[in-house]
Amino acid sequence: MTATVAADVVVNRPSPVRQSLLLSRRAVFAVLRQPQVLVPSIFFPLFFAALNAAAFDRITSEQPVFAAQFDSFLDFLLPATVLQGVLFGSTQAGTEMANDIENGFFDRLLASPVSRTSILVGRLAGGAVLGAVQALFFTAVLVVFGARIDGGVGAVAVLVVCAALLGVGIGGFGVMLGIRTGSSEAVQGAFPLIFVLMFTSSAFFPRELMTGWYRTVATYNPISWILEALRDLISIGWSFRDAAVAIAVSAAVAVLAIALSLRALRRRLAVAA
Amino acid sequence: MTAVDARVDLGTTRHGSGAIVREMVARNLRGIRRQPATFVPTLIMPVFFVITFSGAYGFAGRAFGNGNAMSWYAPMAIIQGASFAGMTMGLSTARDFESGFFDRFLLAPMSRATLLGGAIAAALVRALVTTLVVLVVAMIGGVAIPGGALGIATLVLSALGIAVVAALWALGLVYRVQNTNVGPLIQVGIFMAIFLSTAQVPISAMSGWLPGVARINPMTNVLRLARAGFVPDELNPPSGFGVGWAEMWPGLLALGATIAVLAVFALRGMRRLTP
Repeated sequence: MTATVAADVVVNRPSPVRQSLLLSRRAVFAVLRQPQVLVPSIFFPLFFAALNAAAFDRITSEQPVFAAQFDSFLDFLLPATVLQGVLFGSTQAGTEMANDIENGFFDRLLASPVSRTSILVGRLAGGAVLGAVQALFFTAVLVVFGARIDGGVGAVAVLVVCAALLGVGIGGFGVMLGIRTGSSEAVQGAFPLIFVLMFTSSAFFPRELMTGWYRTVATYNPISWILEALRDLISIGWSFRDAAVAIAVSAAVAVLAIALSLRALRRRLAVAA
Repeated sequence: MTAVDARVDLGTTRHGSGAIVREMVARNLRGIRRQPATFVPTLIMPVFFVITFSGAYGFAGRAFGNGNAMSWYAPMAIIQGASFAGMTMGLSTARDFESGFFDRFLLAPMSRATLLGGAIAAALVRALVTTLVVLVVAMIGGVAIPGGALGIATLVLSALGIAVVAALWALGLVYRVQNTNVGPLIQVGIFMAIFLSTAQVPISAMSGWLPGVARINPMTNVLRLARAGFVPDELNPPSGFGVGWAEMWPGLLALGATIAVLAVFALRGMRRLTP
């Protein structure tokens, strides 16, 4: 009798891929069910895009280096707006992971026959889906307001892929923090550090116009590499080289984040055992 | 047994409002020591804004009035840091609601106005710390303050005023919603008020819809007050540089009116808490 029950359990156990899909669906729905969580990741990037375009368009258009490549500051801001949305949204992955630990759901997952990797993959895949949707939404809104994409559909596709990869990457760092600390407040407290990474890149300011140490930091910041490749795709036109750079750097960030969060998960499991 | 004796026996001796406010400030400061993650980012972000904005827009120094971009951005970052201080007090009170601690405040024999005063006093202390740290960083970075001590005084005054404004806005919302989910709404209100003004660039450098909004936003006048000792006034250029009444009164009026309106908003919210 016991053997029959055990056999049934084994037969009904979903494959690791299905487990990951179910957990990623849970991650996406968890965000959709909390509109107050979506507000910052939708509202703030659009608000700052509208604001910065109106505030800095005149100052930057007077600079020949800038005017030679960009029709408006809105074109310049498009990749940064997408990235900003992904940053806001992806932090939620870490917060939700910490919440799962705080409210005991993580322990219930561990007690169930769920693959350990699926717990992580499910959470990060949810971040990738949200990142891709955000990229499409922001691109559509900014195009309606006058942004031009000279690289066409190909450039938009690369933008969406990069957003999904960065959703995994930034979400992965958040998840790592969530697993290590088990505190949603600690994850949210680290959020400004992600902003530091963004502000020390060429996200909001053209690197050609920076001077001194600030320019040096922006030059070596990988976020600048992604954004500048995407900007060239948007404002100059399609280029395999720019597409490869943007995707490769985003993928590297994602791989690093996954490796770090897997390590954090293994450590937590080792301590729990 | 007299009424006084009974009160002593029950251990319900009421402290003065000043002592309660001091205790509330001390509790808040202890909270910073226990959970630095709730304070450190609000200190780092304004410092960071001074450095990044000044570094990025140094090339456009002339657009900011005196050729020194840091003189334009340091007061903005200080105002922003002060608003964070007020905002954080709102969130801290929201956590007290969630943990049930605020119910103990309501049961305590103290006036509701003292409860509000304690939270605002804590916001002022936090704002003062942030203001001084950002100011020191800006001075190290080479900020020009032609207005001297009076210029610094008007900056500190505006920062403290904005801390009160932000705290009243945040507390008014928290008293109504009573949980931390109200955080994004608090942030949206404060960010919009600050950024839809001359926070980033002067009106003469703006284009499109922004100049019209910035002109009617009271925050523009508060920023004029904050920057009075740092850059020449754009709307009312003085014949010689100095901190004059003409640049100060619109900011003082804007602060006074906003505080009065939001105080009513917060007090009405608090009144809903008690039957």
